[in-house]
Amino acid sequence: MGPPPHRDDEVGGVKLIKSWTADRWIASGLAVFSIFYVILAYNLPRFSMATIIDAHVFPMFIGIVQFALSIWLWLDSRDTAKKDSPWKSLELRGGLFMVLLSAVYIEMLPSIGFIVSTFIFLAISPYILGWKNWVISLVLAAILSMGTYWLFSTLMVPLPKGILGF
Amino acid sequence: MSTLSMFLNGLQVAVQPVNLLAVAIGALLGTVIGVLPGVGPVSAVALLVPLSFGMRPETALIMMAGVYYGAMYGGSTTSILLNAPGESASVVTCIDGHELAKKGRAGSALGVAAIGSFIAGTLGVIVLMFLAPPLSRVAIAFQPPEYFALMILALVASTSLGEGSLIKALISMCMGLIIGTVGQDIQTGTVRFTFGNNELLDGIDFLVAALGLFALSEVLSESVEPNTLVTRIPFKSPYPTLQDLKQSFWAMIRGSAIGIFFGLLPGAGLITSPFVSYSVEKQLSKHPEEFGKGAIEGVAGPESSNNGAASAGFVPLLTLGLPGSATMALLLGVFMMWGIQPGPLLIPNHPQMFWSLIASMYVGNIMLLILNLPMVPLFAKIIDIPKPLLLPMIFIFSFIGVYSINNSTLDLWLLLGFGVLGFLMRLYHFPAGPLVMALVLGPLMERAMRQSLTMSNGNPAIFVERPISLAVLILALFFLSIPFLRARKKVKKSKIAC
Amino acid sequence: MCIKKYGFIALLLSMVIILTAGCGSSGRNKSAEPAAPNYPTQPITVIAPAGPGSGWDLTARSVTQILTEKKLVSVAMPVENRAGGGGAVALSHVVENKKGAEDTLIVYSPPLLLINLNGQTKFSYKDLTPIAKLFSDYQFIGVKKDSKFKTLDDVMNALKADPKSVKIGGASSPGSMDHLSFMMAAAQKGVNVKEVPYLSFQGGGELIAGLLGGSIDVVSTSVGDILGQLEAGNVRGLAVTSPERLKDQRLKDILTLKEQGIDATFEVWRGIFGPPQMPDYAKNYIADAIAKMVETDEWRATLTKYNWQNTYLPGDDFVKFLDEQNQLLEGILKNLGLIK
Repeated sequence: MGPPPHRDDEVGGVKLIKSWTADRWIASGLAVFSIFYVILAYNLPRFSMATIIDAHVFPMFIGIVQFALSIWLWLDSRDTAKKDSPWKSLELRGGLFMVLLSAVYIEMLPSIGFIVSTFIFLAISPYILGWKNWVISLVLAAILSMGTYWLFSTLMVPLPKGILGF
Repeated sequence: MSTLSMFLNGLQVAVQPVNLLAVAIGALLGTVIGVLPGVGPVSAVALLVPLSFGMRPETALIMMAGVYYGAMYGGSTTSILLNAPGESASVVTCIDGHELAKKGRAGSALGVAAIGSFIAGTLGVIVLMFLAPPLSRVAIAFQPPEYFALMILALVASTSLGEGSLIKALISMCMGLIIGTVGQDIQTGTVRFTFGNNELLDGIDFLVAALGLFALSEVLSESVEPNTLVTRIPFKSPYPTLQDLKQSFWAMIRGSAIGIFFGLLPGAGLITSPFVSYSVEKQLSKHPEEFGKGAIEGVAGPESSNNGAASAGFVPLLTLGLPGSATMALLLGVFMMWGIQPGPLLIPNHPQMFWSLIASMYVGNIMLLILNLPMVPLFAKIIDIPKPLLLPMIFIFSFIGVYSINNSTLDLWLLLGFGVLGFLMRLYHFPAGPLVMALVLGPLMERAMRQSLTMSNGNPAIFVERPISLAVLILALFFLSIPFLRARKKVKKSKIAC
Repeated sequence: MCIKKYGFIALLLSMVIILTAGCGSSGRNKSAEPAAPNYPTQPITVIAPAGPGSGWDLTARSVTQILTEKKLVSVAMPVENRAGGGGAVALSHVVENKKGAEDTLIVYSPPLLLINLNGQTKFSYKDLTPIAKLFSDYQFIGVKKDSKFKTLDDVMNALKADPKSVKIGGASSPGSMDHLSFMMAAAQKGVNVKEVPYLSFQGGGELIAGLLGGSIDVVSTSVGDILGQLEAGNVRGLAVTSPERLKDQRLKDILTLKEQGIDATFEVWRGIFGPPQMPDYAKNYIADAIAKMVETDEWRATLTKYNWQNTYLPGDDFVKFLDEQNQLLEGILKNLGLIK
């Protein structure tokens, strides 16, 4: 039964959190993740033969190591000197569009096939990245999508065909 | 003396026009196929197996060896130019190779890689020629406990990849080990961390993580920085300068030696040697801070070592019948197709085969150098394509590479996920190299650990009781402590300066 | 300026395409055959449930090569590698996505039964359309040439005295073929098999290195993986799991399990299957082609080259065989306590 926490401490705690560096947030996230991982590993089904080193041993070991490492990172990043967020100077629009477009690409690939989806991807993305000459990007997209498809089918590496049959 | 005369006999076979042609075709196709995404040495050899049916055995094998070599050469090209490693052996090349390319020195990097590969390949064949039978004992001296120690060493070496603090490299490495445990456990069949998804049973392929963390994250980083999109890279010389060659000569020699030694160990050599070589170069360098920002030795060493390992990998294959990698397993299949059983009796029973293969390796190496050097300025120009056109192409390149492994769209989602993860890791200075490395090594390490513990009935002392394993572990500890020693030295120096 | 640059890329790409196109398209054969008017018209894909170089892959490639070269099948037969889960990934792909398909075949061996029995997949051989058993390989039990064990009985006696004293190694996981074939024999000799340490290696090469380097005392693997070492005299054979002695020069002196008082055989068969509810015309067409193939000299040469035993078994006989094998393996797994 220790003394009840003093109010000032709590304020101090909040302050401390506010001044956390990004690394401390990452370290905390990692620590939680590694605890989860160790629990999942511990709950893996056991093999029935006693002489086998079982499937949970290695994961539990590295999970614990990862936990220790995240504590180390937490302690190591005591430096509370405020640094500029690395996000500041970035123009996220281009990257975000690329990720979104890729997601659409992956989603469409099995249904509309490699040639069409690759053509669309290669036609649109240069524009997003600031390329304004449509003629070049369209021709390039056509040649690359059909060329690679043909190349890989001659190499007997199947690429998705899609409903149109190519 | 008899070795020499047999070699000369072999050389006579190797320079027959039809065999020369076979080497040339093999090397050329290998290089081209090696450049394509997802079509590494394994698929290159697999694709050409049917083509070899009509040939004489020597000719067919000579062509296969050419393909294998060529694909190894070709693999480094995409690493340097697009930051897209096609196979595990060229992950390390990305790190400094692509930085050099971004500085307009793609020609230097490609040229040094080609020359380093040539030197290592040639040295490797010399070793194979004179020392194959005695060296085969090395392959057998390394048993599960030694492999475990070796994995520890390689993981420690991997933390020297890229800049940033040791702790972040270790966390990144550990994350790689964790990702490596996804899938069905090969020993017990227990399914781990797949969350019911059947496609994850075989784990997450290395290429998914490597292309995501390197190629895609590079593209994402560049596409969010508006300035880099318009800036053209100042194109420096199309070939390495004399200064480059001088600077990287010893790195090539050391890389070759490391590669040849590790290549003797089936299973681990090709993957681990470039990492160890990189680490060694960084530790020995007078300017370790340049590593990760475009140090030419960081390309020369690892590229030499992976080719050294590729040639030395023939030692366990030809003398013991132990394939050291997937490609080697395929070559083993090719040998058997011709009714030749690779193993202890190959050299005594088929001397002509062995010696003409050796001789053709020399020829192949020279031919690759002749083929590749003129290509360097050509390839180096790829980096000159306007960014808005080039970046989407790298995306598609990675997508195809990943899709062709398993024909699975889940892999593509993972690829994209790794791309975003890699982008975030860059922002917060977590190096990606250790993660990719640990993903490759983790399963090998786990297997070695469990085999060892089964051998010792569960007693972990087995790792320190065996001399080779103990020595390797001590070496690993030494590598790990170097950053600390360096830091202390620096502190001392600055004190003296005060 | 930009056009020029683009032209350069196009040139490079077309160069690559032309170079590679020249080599890849051989082996295709588009001539139609009169025997089946409507089938096949499309290429028939043969799935190998593991990577290039694996046994399944080798089987698939050998079969397709002879079928197309001898024009027994009139369309191209590309081999597709779908590795994963010891064959489970390819199995669920075929069962779930290829129901009723006429252009897909798949190659399998005992793991098809094992992955179902030990619960790795809910699908089984009953979901597929068995077409034919092609050939078989057998298992081999052996030791290093300077081992203190001279006979299989020596090994078994040592294991009976102390199950932990002898280390067994194989190239597949516990509960799979290499493990089962040895433990099946050991169980019959009264060894407490649950206590016997078993090291699983990745592939035959590593396994042999483990044996020669002293990590394991006894090796249990397929005959094909060990031939080279046997020929070189590095390994001594203690037993093969075939019903009779094998004919190969290098193997003819190795005793079968039966000759050593163990009433068991272990057959590593390879067979070819169609997807669930494969149309009869397609099934019959393939079955006919295979029946013709096994009579060719090329096929016999292939069998000799890889030391495969001809155990061709078509249609219903194959299904009966599979039922028997399934029961047999289930019994062994239960005996070992690997399943309940």
